[in-house]
Amino acid sequence: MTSPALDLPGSAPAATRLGVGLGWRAEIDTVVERQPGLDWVEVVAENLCADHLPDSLAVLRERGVTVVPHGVGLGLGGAELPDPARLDRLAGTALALGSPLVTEHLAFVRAGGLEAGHLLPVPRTRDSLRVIAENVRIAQDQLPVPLALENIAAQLSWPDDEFTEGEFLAELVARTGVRLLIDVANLHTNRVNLGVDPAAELDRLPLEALAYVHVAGGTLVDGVWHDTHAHPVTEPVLDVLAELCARVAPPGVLLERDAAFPPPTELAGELDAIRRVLEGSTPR
Amino acid sequence: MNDLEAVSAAREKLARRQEELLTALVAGGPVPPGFDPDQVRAQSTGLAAKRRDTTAKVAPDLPRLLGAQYGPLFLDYARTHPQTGGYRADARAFAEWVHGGGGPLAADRRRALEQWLHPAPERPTGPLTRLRRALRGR
Repeated sequence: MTSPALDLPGSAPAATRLGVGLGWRAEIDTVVERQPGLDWVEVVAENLCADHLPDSLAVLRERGVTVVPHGVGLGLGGAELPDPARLDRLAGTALALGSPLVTEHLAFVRAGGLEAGHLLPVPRTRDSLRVIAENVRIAQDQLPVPLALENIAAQLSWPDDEFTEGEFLAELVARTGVRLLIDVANLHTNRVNLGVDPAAELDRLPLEALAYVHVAGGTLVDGVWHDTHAHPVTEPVLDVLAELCARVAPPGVLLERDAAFPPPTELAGELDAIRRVLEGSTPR
Repeated sequence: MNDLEAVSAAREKLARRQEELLTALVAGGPVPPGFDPDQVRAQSTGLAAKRRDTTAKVAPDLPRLLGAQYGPLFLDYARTHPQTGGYRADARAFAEWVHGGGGPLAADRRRALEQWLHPAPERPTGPLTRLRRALRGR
């Protein structure tokens, strides 16, 4: 199935306006339900079964809250062709939730029968670009809604990269019409761990293809930034969000919290901090 | 080389390089040429910790049964047992490794792990129990 929007590579029709959202997790389902002024939620696609969706998501949908499935296991940056069964499952989840789009990562997660259990950076060469662009097109063909790809937090870089991550994503957008999910916490992580300048990366990204933005907390240990999603959101991450908002008004921003869940008021405070950045910014 | 052959050759090369790096990260393989060994070590440590925490989430009984030993035992296990399937299978394989003597374990914890791995089958219910249940409406 191909959505009309994806028939023309490079076309970027107006993105769905999502607003400010919070990552739905089973551990905090009622907390998410009770967050005041929440526009949308994102769910980890692999944690759901389209036939047995949690009641909490039905409650939210009835209230008009949009639900977006976020995949972590497709490995579109891998050398293997995308697994049709995994794509089918993601497509089924998107349909069951009436989602306007699905998202995944520019990453590989398995190779040679081994599972990484996490997102790993791809070598950013002209060669790998052709492979990954083909993977993205295959995924787009099987998905009933547009796909957006996310930049990742890396702790290592490949020795022969010919593109930055921003340039590589820009090439993928131009070749496939894929949308972008920009994680400002990941840009901050790569600044601390790999010396990549977030502002320069934002300048390289075709932000007209932006679907939404991720914000998350982390912690610094021995000079290495750990993007834990289990710590409060810090000022430098919000500064990168402000940098992005100075370039484009994001259609959506989502707070990710995966563990060490704080009291509901603390999450509400973080969402308010995000709203303040959005309100205080005007794209230049 | 035509376009199809070029992409297919690029796929093979990418597969080889990703497998080399992942083997270094999760299966004790050598750091591939050109990589910063410190970065590879940091990523490798991060992957093992993430796997430990995800397994604890999927099988919360294991950290409960093993207490403070869970973390160190899991990281020892992960060093020699790369993940090839899902987290549930991984949790069970880890429990079997510990139970089979992979690490030091107090006798009571070993018994608890034994029960987790091989729960005693429920005793067949007798006619009286069935009658009582029927009367209670279940």
